[in-house]
Amino acid sequence: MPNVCLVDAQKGNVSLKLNVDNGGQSAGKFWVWKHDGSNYNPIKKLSGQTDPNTGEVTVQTGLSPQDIENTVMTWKLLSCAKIPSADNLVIKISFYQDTVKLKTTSDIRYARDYPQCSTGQALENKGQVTFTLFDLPETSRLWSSM
Amino acid sequence: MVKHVITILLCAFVSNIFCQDTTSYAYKFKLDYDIPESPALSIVDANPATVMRGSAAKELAINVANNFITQQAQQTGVALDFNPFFAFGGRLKNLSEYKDKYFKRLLANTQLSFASTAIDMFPNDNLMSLGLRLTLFDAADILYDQKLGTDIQNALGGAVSNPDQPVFDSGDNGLDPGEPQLVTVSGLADAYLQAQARVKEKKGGALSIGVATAQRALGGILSSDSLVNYRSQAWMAGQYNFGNGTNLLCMAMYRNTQMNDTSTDEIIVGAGIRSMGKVVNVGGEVVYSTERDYIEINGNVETKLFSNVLLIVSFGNGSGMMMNENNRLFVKPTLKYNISQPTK
Repeated sequence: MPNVCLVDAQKGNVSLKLNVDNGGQSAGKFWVWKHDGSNYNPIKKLSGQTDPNTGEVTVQTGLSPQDIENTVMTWKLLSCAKIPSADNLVIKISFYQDTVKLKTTSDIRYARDYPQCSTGQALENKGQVTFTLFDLPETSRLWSSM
Repeated sequence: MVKHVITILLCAFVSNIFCQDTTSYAYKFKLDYDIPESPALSIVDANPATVMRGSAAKELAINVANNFITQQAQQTGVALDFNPFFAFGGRLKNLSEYKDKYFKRLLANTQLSFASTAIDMFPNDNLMSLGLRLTLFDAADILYDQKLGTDIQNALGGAVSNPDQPVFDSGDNGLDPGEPQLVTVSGLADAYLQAQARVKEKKGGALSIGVATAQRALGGILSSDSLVNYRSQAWMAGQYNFGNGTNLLCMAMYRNTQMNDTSTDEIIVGAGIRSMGKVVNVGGEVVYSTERDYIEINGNVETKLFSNVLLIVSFGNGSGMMMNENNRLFVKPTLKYNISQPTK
């Protein structure tokens, strides 16, 4: 079952946040693909590395809800642990519009033991998510903003 | 035979804590990096040096002490040192939490150590020891090296391969259809080697405290009524790095030993100097014990024998409390196996 991210048609551009805990570090490439009827073609190639201190990075896709509708984002991450003995990392990817976190049908979360960066090795994770637009009726928006 | 069974059981127990994940990663011993001694081995004087280091804990380490060709006190043993905070599920939000919150940093630098040792003094028994070590501060903590974080960031960023095309069957919820792949990242090990060289050049101190207890497992049998208290100790160890790979070490220890219904209290103080090189480490120490009223002058030379195997040759006019006679010259070779260093 594919993982679907619900994008609000009335809000701004979509951004993603990559987060790693326990002092780990992670870097990723995120490509957005559009289907032209026969093939998937990349329409946006993004990348980001987590800040060594905060363990976070925000990547702006620069794509509006209309641009991102029915596209698929695929990614590859490389991650490693930095604090001795703290090999177990939780790595999360979440999507935002403005400051609102978007819902996905499944959490994008990798939790396992990663190699210490000092070994010269990192673990590669990959995944994908499909973006789908939703447009709430005006009355629902009014209710949710109250 | 029974002693070896206990040793194997100890290893099995401790390894069970760490075997929740089947992935294993390669480590290699590196000599000129400051790995503290095992607290559980110090209580039975199975560490090559009496004066311990004050520096922060490094990665998981298995220390196998095996003093061969010794004149008086034969010691064989295994110690496993690990961090209890992380091993039992403790987490840090990020590296800033480690840097900014002293208590979390203290937990992250706690070293718990189990050891099983066989010594000639108790030929029928096994010594089971437990030690705990807290690093109060370490000016040469590599995790404070800001450039290391940036270098790791750049190395990882440069090594990520392009994402695959979307697939119809994207696995469980779109995540990792297969087992994640282990990737060797160009520049990552070098970033560490450079950071370790920078840390070695850094001047500053480190201070740690520790406690340990050793029990005799009578007849080599591990049960509640077969354990007899043998020794307890508490110590404080400090070191100052001169910035050229040379450290000044000092230590003060209280020790209580129970033998044949007599209880002996002693204070042990010592100072040492150690120079770390790429091929060989050389150290010397002066140790005074109130119980023995005697000054030991010892030296030790460490060199890498094979990958992960360290040969330590200690020499001097005493070898700690296992040696009953004062002023007797000794040469004590020891093999140590350590998995706490990276491969390149």
